[in-house]
Amino acid sequence: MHSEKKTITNVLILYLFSTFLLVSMVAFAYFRYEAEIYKNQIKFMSTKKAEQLHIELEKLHKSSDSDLTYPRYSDFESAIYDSNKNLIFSTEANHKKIDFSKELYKEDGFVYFIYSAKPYYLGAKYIVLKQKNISVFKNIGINILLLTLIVLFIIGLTSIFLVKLILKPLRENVNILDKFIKDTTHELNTPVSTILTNIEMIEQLPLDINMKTKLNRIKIASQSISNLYEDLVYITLNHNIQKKNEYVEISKIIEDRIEYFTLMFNSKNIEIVFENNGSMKLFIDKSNITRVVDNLLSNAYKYSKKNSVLKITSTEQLFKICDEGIGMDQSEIARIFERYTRFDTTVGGFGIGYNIIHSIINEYKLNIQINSQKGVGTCITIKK
Amino acid sequence: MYHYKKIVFFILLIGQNIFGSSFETNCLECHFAKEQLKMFLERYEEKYGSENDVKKAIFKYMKNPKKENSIMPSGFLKRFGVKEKSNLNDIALKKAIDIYYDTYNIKKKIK
Repeated sequence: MHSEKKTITNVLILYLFSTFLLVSMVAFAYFRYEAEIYKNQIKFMSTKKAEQLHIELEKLHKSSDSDLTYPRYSDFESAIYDSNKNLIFSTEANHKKIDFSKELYKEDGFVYFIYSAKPYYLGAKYIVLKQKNISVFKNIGINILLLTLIVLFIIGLTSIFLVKLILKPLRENVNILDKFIKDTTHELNTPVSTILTNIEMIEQLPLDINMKTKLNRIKIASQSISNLYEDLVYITLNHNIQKKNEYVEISKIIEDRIEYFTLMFNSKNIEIVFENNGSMKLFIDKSNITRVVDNLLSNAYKYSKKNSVLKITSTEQLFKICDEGIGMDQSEIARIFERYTRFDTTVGGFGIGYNIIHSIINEYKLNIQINSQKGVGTCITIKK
Repeated sequence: MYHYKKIVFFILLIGQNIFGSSFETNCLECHFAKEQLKMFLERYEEKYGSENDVKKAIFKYMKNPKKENSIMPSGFLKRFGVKEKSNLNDIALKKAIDIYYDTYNIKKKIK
């Protein structure tokens, strides 16, 4: 579920981002196009006004009247400049400096238009019109922005729907597989428990040595299955079960688990030496820490040589399990926490043990230290 | 006696150039119609625009009158031809042009 959400988010981000770029480009082009049209419109209107003014200037220029009144209009202010850009006349008392490099420009909310007149009536080469900016143009920008946002929103919704549609068959498969594993795991529990309880009941009966050996083998095999079952439960159900954290004395757990595995270790004639010099107290889920200890012990069992010694130490700060097994080199240690990593395929297991240990240790912020020498043995230390 | 007349004329000519208003004596003599002078300046302004450019153009034409330099329509030039070259010196001519421009320029009168 978690990875699915991540996939949806990633696809959504990628999709939305690329769409956003595309839509922005289109919007920008459209905006430029609209702006150009608007500019041309203003130019056209202003040119007409300037031409009108030019005609009036001609009349003034050629008039023989002594009364020379400059033509004034209600919708714009105007000024005339000679070919050296010197002001000849302006309808405004405080006329601002004009930028003659542009034909049309905006400044302080006014649109300035510079018309090059010919002939130069009254010596005026440039007719400058000053008009109020028309607010229609602002609306174009806002409309385009709104439209872009709406388009992006719709595309966002569509993409969520699309991703869900694409992932649907995949999710169904994963769900089926999950359900199968969960069901299988659950179905394993009852038979294994039945076998183990019945073995314990049979152990109470007087048996000959031959029979006892056979029964022990069955018990060891059942314990292996039980251990595997616990691992599978952790892996498949860990995220869904509620943790019951409590203060746990690790040395007690170790003692308990040693007793549980005694028969297994005896079968390989491995001697267990437990030095109990105090105990770590951890606030942890009991079944989780049991997983850690079980996996450490079962790994030690799997890789230990026959007739060797397994030394377990517990103090208030740490606990340590040292075996005399095949050992690992540095590259193997680096890969140890990867799931399905197995260094010796002749021994049983899936290679999920250390992966589980790693996940639990990370969850409770514990430290793990691995010292190993090829052919000599391995020491695993778990510290607070 | 003949020599005397010649000397007086010569002195008068120099005196006019140096002391009198070169515009009044040199231009108005022929171009006495005010409308005509106003029209000339109008045509100069239409073509050259700024005060500086107008004065330069008039000066150039006075120094070397040609059909190409003239602001008058070709029909007029065909009938009357171009005027004679001005025999005023540069300073006097410029002064005359300044007076002419100031007198007939209407820009300052715009309200």
